[in-house]
Amino acid sequence: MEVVMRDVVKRFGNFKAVDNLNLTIKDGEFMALLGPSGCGKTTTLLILAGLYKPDSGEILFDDKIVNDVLPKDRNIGMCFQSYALYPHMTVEENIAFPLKLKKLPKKEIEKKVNEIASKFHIEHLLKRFPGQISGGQQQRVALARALVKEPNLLLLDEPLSNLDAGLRISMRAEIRRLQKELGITTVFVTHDQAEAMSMSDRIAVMNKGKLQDIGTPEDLYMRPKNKFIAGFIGNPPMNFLEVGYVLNGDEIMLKGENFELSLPREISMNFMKKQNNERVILGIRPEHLSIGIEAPNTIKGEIFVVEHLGRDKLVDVKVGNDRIKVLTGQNFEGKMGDIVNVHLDLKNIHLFDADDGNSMKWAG
Amino acid sequence: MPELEAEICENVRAKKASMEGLHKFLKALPFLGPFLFLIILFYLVPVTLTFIMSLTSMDYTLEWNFVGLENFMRFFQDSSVKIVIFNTVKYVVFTLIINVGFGFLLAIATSYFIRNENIMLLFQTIWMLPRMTPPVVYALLWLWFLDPTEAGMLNSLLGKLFGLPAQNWILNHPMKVVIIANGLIGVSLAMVVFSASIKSIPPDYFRAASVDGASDWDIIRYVIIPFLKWPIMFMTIWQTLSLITSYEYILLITDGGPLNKSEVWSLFSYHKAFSNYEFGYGAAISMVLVILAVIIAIIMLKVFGYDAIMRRGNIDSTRGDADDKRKNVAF
Ligand SMILES: Nc1ncnc2c1ncn2[C@@H]1O[C@H](COP(=O)(O)OP(=O)(O)OP(=O)(O)O)[C@@H](O)[C@H]1O
Ligand SMILES: [Mg+2]
Repeated sequence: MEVVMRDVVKRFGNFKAVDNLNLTIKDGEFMALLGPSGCGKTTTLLILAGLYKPDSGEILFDDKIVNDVLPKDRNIGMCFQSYALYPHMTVEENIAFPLKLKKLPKKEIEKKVNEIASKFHIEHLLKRFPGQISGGQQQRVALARALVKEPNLLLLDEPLSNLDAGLRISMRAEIRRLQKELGITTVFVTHDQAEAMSMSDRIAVMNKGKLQDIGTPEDLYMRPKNKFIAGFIGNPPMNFLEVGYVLNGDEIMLKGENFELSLPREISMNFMKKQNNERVILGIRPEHLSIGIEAPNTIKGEIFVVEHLGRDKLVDVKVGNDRIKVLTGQNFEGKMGDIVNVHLDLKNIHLFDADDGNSMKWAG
Repeated sequence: MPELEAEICENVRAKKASMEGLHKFLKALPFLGPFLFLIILFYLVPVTLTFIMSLTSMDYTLEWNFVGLENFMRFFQDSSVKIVIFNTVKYVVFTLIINVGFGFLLAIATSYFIRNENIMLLFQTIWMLPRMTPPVVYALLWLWFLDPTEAGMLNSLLGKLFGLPAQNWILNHPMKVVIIANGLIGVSLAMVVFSASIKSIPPDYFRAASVDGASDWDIIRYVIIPFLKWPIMFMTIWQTLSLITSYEYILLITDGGPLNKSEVWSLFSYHKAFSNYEFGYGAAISMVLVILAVIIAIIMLKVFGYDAIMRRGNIDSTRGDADDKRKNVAF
């Protein structure tokens, strides 16, 4: 089922929790809704489920406006952030509940419940009450309940937040496989960008109730449209340095507190021109930085701390009042207090407007 | 040998537990003390006095002549007792249905369907009025409302709307009047308790149920009622016990009449003691009622699974008593 949100606004009093949202989710697509806490993700899901009425705008399921269709008639499966498992029903009764309301025959209900329970590895918990199973198990029961009725649209509100790292990774794959197998259009809310990147066909990034951008994980990672997306997607996050902008012929000079970078023509032509001496923000990911010998077009700084990440080391370098993170190999030997030269992979730098945060890269 | 060891262990553990119990009780005494004192003063002392009095033939002379169980024998042979018991059961059951049932409906209407704080407050205040009115005033309002003449409020209303002839409501339907008047007082309490409980159900449960395809009726049946099991149970026990022993509104509205048509147990005892000055006999009637009330309370607590409620707050015992919970869910 294709889902379209058109100019959707939801207010709580004067506060706009969802601000003019336009979103198209294609049939069978797995869409992640990514954003920091309080940005309106849950509110968006509740609007799709019909539990909140939008103050303005339209929701379309397969070209039909469903603004006035009741939640119970939308055939949606939803997994709540709080799980919302009924404490007075056993796990089995919980999962069977949507089917019972559909008045399916007992035999069929039993069969479907057992099927889905074995998919989510909860067969042995069926007779227990939600209060008698762990948080991770509850989450899987909630998922099973959302999926058991084979909904047209699946809404998942942070369904993996309570699982341990191992289980989370295996559940990611499990959900993804089930979703593809059943071809259910899915909206998956998360504030974990790694989860969004690894699972989704496309990601919609939200901030403060507004849609920031929507695209494939690779798109958002390689060509962030603004500073918010650039900082939110990718781990460890992108480094930002505020610099002065000087146009020197075809070359751009970026002037920091105690460094100067000149971008050669083939790189500077990727960016929109600005007035001389305007402030811009230089963005570069830790994996596009390295530590090397003293040379022009590098940034000199002092090592503040070295973090071990297992495979790599993350070196925190103090540059003036700013700190930048550099990803280095395991064999990096630098210590706290060492003065180092940070080399930039200039092909991978981003420039953002200091005022509105928009990327200065030419689109397309 | 291992069995013996186990037994010894068990004994030691039991002893330890009882010591711990005593210790705990002593620690709690400063907190329980005032309540224990009040319970003894206002409950145990009167019950004991009533019991002693019930063994006497005390009359207006106020002399303590012990006559053994004579009063009790008389009670079980008294010809009015049958109708009194019948009235009491009718009174308690039907008043309870109005109290709890109507309170539940109002709570659902105001806190599930309307969900507007102001309307809810208005409703609750209106229903609270009879409770805030002194019993005498409330009873007078009913007497005035049911006045047997043409000018009586209900009579003139029915006369104007449907052309019905005036009638003496209290004389013709004493039990119904008593039940409705008492029922309406209790409604507010049940409504407030149930509304608060409905509002404390996390909204995600209602949302999950709607998304799962539940209609309003399904939500009431599968979500609200199970969540309200404990408050409903509490209200039922509480109201049963207070109805069994209450008589002031009946006294004021019908005084048990006409003849014994609306005489209930506690009022019967009152009449014997304070109208006939048969204090000994009155005390015996109360005594039987007290014993009966205690038995009813114990049965109700057992039926509703009092243990399970008390254990509910206890974190380490919530796991593993699935069978227990299962049993209670049936209600
Ligand atoms: N019923 C409500 N009344 C008033 N404000 C609300 C209500 N529900 C949500 N909000 C506000 O709307 C904003 C968005 O809330 P929402 O629950 O959609 O956030 P979220 O993106 O799901 O956050 P999280 O990741 O923490 O779950 C928040 O600022 C929240 O305070
Ligand atoms: Mg949320």
